[in-house]
Formats: sequence, C-alpha cells, structure tokens
Amino acid sequence: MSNSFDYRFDRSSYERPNNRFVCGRATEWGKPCGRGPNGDGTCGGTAECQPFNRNGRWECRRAPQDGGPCADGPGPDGVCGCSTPPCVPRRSMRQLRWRATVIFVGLAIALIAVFTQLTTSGDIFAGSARLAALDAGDLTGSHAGFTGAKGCKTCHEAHDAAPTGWLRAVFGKNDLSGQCVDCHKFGGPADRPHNAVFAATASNGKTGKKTECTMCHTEHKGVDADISTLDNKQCAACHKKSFSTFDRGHPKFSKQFPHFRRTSIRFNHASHLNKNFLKPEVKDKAPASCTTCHQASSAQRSVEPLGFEASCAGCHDDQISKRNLVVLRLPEFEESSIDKEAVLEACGPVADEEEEDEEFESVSGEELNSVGAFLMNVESDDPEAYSEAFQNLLMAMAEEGTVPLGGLLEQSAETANPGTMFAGLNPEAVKRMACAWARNQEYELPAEPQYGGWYGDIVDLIYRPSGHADPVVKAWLEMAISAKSDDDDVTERISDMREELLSARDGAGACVKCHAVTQDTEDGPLRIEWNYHKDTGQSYQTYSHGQHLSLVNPQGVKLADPTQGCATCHKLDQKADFASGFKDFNPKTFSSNFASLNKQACVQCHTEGRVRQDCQLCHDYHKEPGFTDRVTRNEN
Amino acid sequence: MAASRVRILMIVLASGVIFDLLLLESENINIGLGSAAELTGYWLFGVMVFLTLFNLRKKLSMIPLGPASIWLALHTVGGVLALALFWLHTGTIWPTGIYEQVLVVLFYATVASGIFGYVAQKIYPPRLTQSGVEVIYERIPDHIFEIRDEVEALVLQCTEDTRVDTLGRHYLDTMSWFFRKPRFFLSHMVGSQMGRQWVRQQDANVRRYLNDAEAEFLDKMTELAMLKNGIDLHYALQSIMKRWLLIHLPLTAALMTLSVWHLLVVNVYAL
Repeated sequence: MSNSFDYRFDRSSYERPNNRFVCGRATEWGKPCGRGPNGDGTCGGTAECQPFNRNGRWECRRAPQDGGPCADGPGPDGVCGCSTPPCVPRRSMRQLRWRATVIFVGLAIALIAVFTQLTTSGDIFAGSARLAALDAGDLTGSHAGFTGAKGCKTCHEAHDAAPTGWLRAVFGKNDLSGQCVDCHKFGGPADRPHNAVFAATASNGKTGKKTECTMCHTEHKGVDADISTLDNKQCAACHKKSFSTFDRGHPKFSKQFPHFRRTSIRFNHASHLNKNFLKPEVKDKAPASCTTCHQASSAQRSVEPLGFEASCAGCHDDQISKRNLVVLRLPEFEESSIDKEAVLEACGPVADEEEEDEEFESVSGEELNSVGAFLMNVESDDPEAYSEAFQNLLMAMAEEGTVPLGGLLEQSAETANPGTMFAGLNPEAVKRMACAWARNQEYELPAEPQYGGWYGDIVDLIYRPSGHADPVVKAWLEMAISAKSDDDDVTERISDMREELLSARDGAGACVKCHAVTQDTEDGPLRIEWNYHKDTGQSYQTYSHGQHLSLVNPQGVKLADPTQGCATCHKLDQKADFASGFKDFNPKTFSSNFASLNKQACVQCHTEGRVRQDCQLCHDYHKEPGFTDRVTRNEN
Repeated sequence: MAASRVRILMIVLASGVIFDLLLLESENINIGLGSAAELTGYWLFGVMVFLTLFNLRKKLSMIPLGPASIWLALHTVGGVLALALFWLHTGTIWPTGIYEQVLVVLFYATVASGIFGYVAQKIYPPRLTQSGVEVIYERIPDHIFEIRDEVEALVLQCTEDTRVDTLGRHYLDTMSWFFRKPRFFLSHMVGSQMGRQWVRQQDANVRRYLNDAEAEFLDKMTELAMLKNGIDLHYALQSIMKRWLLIHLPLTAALMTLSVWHLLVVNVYAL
C-alpha cells in the first residue's frame, strides 16, 4: 500500500479544491509539488521550500509531508537547493464551473439580444415571424391577417416602447380586451358576462362581474388553434345550477320551449293539415312534406318558410286581389253647394245636363268611408260636417287631379308617403271621376279593370292590389297603423280607419288575414309583421335544424307518416286554440300549434357515449357577435 | 425510522400538498375564467429561485442554515415539484414560440442533468465503498504517480535480482500504458469489470514466461495494478459526481436568465 494513503496532517498536504488553479504536474499525472500554484496561476513549486534565516544561518523549511528538511539545505544566498522546473498550472474544476456559468449566462443574454432584434420584419430571417424573443408563437390564421405592418403593437401597446414604457407596462395593467373590441362587437357590453347586464343583476344596482376577452381566448397557440373553446366547468362557475352532463341534471326545458311567442304569420298548421289539405279541390296543391314550405336543409335555429309564392300562392293568391282598398267614397249630400259654373269651367259641358230647378237629390246614399273621413278630418256620418269639405275637395280634384289628395294625406299623417300611397293614380281619371261626382252623377267605369291598380267605380275611388306584397296597400296599411293624434275625435277616426283597413276578413289586400298585428310593449306602437320573425329572445341558444333533418329523414318529411321526420320532435297539438293568439296585439299570449319540446327528445342521442352534450353545443356565450367596420378597412 | 428519513418524508408530503393545492386553485381559477398561468408561473419561478439557493447554501457553509441532507432533499423534491409546476403552467410539453422553445429546452436539460446527478449521487457512493479503496479526489494524481513509481522500482529490482528482463519488457510494452494515467473510464462508469479483467489477462499472459523469482515480482506488480484499478474507479465515479455540475449549474444560470426575461416580457405584454 502506498504511503500517500496515510492522511495524517504531517504526512499529507491539505487539499484546497476551492483554489482557482491546480498543479500542472498533477494534471499530467506526475508528482504534484507540495506548494501548489500561486493565486495568479503561475507555478509556485519551482522550489520545495522557502528557507528561513535564523541567527544568520539559512534553514530548510520543507514540510514534513514532503520529506522534511533536505540533507543539502539551502544555499548560502538563502535559495532552496531542491529546485525543479516550473509547471503550467491548470484551472480547477470549480473555476471551470464558474467560467462555464458565466459563459452560459452571457450566451443567454446574447440570445435575448439577438432574438429581440429579430422581430417579425427582421432582415436576417425576413418572413420568419417566429424568430423573436417576444414572439410567443403563431397567431391563429384569422388574427394573423389583421396585424399587418403594425405587428405586435396591434394588441400589445408596450411593444417597441422605450424602457420607461416597458417599466410602466410591468407595473401597469395591459388592456388587451380594449384592443379586441377594435374589431369585434357584440349586442351588449363587451366586458360583461354574455355581453349583457341581466335583470337580476341590474335590479341590485350592479352591472355584473367585469370580464376580459383573454379569460377565454388566448392567442399564440398556432395557426390552426381553436381559441374559442370553453368547457362545462367554466360555465358552471357562474351558473349556480350545477350538473355534470346534459343527460344528467340539465334543467328541463320550459313549458313553452321552443315557442316563446306567436308566429308572425297566422298559419294554423293543425287546421291546414287535418282539414284544408284534405279537401278534394286543393288536395293536389297541398304540400307533400314540411320541407315543401320550409327551408330546412340549411336552417339553423329558425326554419323559415319559403315565402308566399312557394307556400301559399297556390291556394290564396286570388284572395288578395279581391280585397280592394277604398280610399274615397262619395257620401250622401243633403244639398249641393257646388258652383255649376265652376264645374262647367273645370270639366266642360256635357250632353245630358240636368235642369237647374229640380230639387237636389244626392246620387250617393253612402256614408263617407273611414279613410276619407280621416283624410278630411270630418265626421263620416254627419252630412253637415263633411258636405262642404268633400264638395270643396271634389272641385279641387276636378281642377287639379291628384294634387289635393296628396295634400290631404300630408296634412293628416306626417309620416305618410303620398308618392307610394298614390303611385299609379292617373290625374285625368281622378278629374273625370271628380267631375262626375261634382255633377251629382255616378262615375261610370269605361271598362272593367282586369289587373290591379287605381280606378273609380260609381261612388268609390278604389285601389285593387296587384298581388302579394303590393307596395301601395302596404303603404296605406302602414299609414293606418302608425297614425296617431292627441285629439279624441281624430283618434276615433283613426280607429275606424284601422278597423276597416286591418280587418282580417275584409281588410285591404287581406294582408292582416295572415300577417299578425303586434304591439311589443304595452305602450309601444303597433306594427304589422310583414316578415318572418326570428326569435332572438333566446339569443344564447343555437341549434342546427339542417343537421338534424338528415338524421330523421334525408328525403324530407312525409306528412302521411307523422311518426317520422319533423314530427319526430314537432308534434301537432290538436287541442291548441291557435286562432285565439291573434285576437289581441300581444305576441306573448298565444297557443302554439305544436307541443313544447321535451328534453328527452334530445337525450335520445345527446348522451354519454353517443353524441356531444357539452354546453357550447347548444348555447352561445356571446350575444350577437359581429365585427366593426375596422375589419373591412383593415387598418393597421 | 431515522429522523432524517422522517424529515425527507415530510418534505415530500409538503411538496405534494403544495402541488395539490396549486392544482386545485388553478382549476378554480380556470373555471372562474381567470389566469391560472399567472399563479403557477410565479410559483414556478419561486421554486426555481429556491432551487438555485442550494448552491448558495454550499457556499455559505459557515452559516447554520440547516443540515445539507435536508437541503439536498428540498432540492430534489423541489426539482420534481418544479417539473410538475412547469407542465401545469405551460399545459404542454412543447410550446409554440421559438423563445419559449429555447426556454423549455434549457428547462428540460437542467432537469435531466439534475436527475442524472441525483442518480449518480445515489448509485456511485456505494460502489466506491465496495471498491475497498478510499481516496481523496484531488490526491488521485499523487497516488497514481506513487504507484507508478513503486511499480517501476519493483521492475528494476526484479531485473537486478533475477538478471532477466522479461518482466521489465512486459512493463515497458504493456503495463506502463496502464500505470501512466487513469484508464477504463467508461467501463468504470457503467460498472463493468473490464479494468480488472485486463490486469488479470496481462498477468496470465506473461506469467508463463517467468521463473519463480520473477513471478513473485509479478504478484506484487499485479497487486499494485489492482490497487491502481481501484483508484481508476474512484477517479471515474468521483469525476462524474463532480463534473455533472459543470453542465447543471451553467444550464441553471442560463435558464434563470431566460426566465427573468420571460417574466419581464409576460408582465409587459400580457398582465
């Protein structure tokens, strides 16, 4: 066994691994010197000891572990007699570790510096947007196109800022959501849950918890990343009614679901399917299936009807043109104050002029019609009240044709548009008719009108609708329904006019026979629902009829078999009093033709192990999401 | 159970509890549409700073900061906690941005080197004890020199006593390579007995040409060669136990540097 295994203090040197250098001889597996390298890295072992001068004599001070004092001793000049050639000390492991650490830190800092310079428009790797220390990853494809030249600054305001700007950003709050709403807009406040302040919250005088877009949408996850996904647990964070899955604990659908208001068209499915379509005379015109009338293949929540021409015209087209609009009716006069000379001047002579001395007998025995009474602002059943006004109107019409009618309309209804409401009315025809009435004669129609349009007939000025969605009739009905006054008498005349024009049975164009007249709020205005009503009240629900239709019957729905197709979910409620829903103007008081939907209908498929049943399948988070015009302008 | 083991068990349990609480809180924050990454990120950074303090603890050995074994346990368990927090923080094992990818490579490399060091510290000391040799790492060059010196003196003595140079030529041709410096580093590292086998092989190769007197010298030389092989084992294993820090510490320093930048950028851009 080697002696060097003896670790006694006087037989071996004390190792100092903390020293910066180690003996060069040791690194070459030779005999290391006892004294070791100097602190500056030079060899400290060229002499084995540093002789000590005691009383004028130099004494050897070689350490015991190196063999003790040498036999020859120091020279007379005090130089050690055991000199060896110098070695080249090497750095110790600790020193190497320190140097490696410094180098790695330096490399890291250099990496940051280089990457920071390699911005998305960097010259070295131009086009490579990912080579930047600030780039956390690719944006989704839809967002990447809107950063453009402005780059990161589009969303991150502190980007490219001076160090002081960065310092402020570190201790400040980044408003990332503020940048989102530059392009995105919603049907309510962007920073509130579901873009809405719900009634329960508002009733407490609060506006709800503030939300940030980044709570759900985090970018830089790659071009194709889905950054819109929520999960059921997140929904449950606010919705206190907690449940695990749709099929286990989701609240039952409301009793009304999915019918929360009456339809905009008064179409009774039950009576049509069970009675009307079965009549021999219309059987060949009856729809073969629901999809004959409803556009279901691409429908989402609402399955809109295809429109009048495709769905209704086969049976109801000719009914429209039979419901004439009587704008003016010659009423009975007790006496005539019309100046015959003026009539002669305006209308010219006629062959069979009556004798002047005959007692006046009015050619008309009718009352003034409600529209005429409204236009002239007179009582319709009081000849004393309307005679002078009407006879003046007749003279004006005889002289100027349609002009006085337009003037009356503008006086009576501020919002009226005479250009549309009297569109196509021939002034010459009006003159001839007025002249006849002024002479106390019935107006004889030169020929029976075959098509729609204006004409005078005996004592009436009539408009015959040309077909569905006739603009003149629509304009008169809109005027009638929007007219209003503070005067009780005028209000009564307006009411009479509405009763006549908006009568479901005899009203002009038979429009209101099908189109519902609705008053959305108690004090709100009346309106005719000309278009199909999309139910936006349940704005957080989503459903695709198109996808489900292919499941129940790809070929469409056969009415002959009500157990299939649409009837799988939408079952007719034979007992429902559908018509009663249209007796008033409130759209919420109604009876649907169809029974409400039961959750079990959905659970048949949307259950564990079969079809998705997460919240977002049927519910949207945002209310009416859309884009601002900045998107189209693509400003950067 | 020894007190140190109880303490280590407590550390493991505490770390587990911390992680579970963070996991639950992250889940709650995520459910509440908050930013759990902010919470886990700061915790991760804090744990990494604490792990870095382990090196400081070694340098401040004069201050009573608790037993080194506890610090090692804290460092080890903290490293595992950091890895778990890292995955909780990023939600992925491979991020998208190039900077984050560099950061992740450094993190994984640091963790991997740490795991390597921990395994080495667990496996090699028992093997060193079993070797029957005890030696200070810094003195290995001295030991090797002395053994070589002793072997060469032995060979000279053999030649003088027996007047035959067979052993001398054997030493010059073969054994001097072995005694010049530590050999069979890789085989010692993986636990192979290649060095011992090599010495025995050389012994067997030359013994048939030696007379009895020379054989006695060969016995002594083989004995020294076996001792040298034991020192080689120490050199290999102690080198690994010391030099893995040459990787681990610089990686840690670079990782902390990039992490500080990451923290800064996140605060400037996202929070």
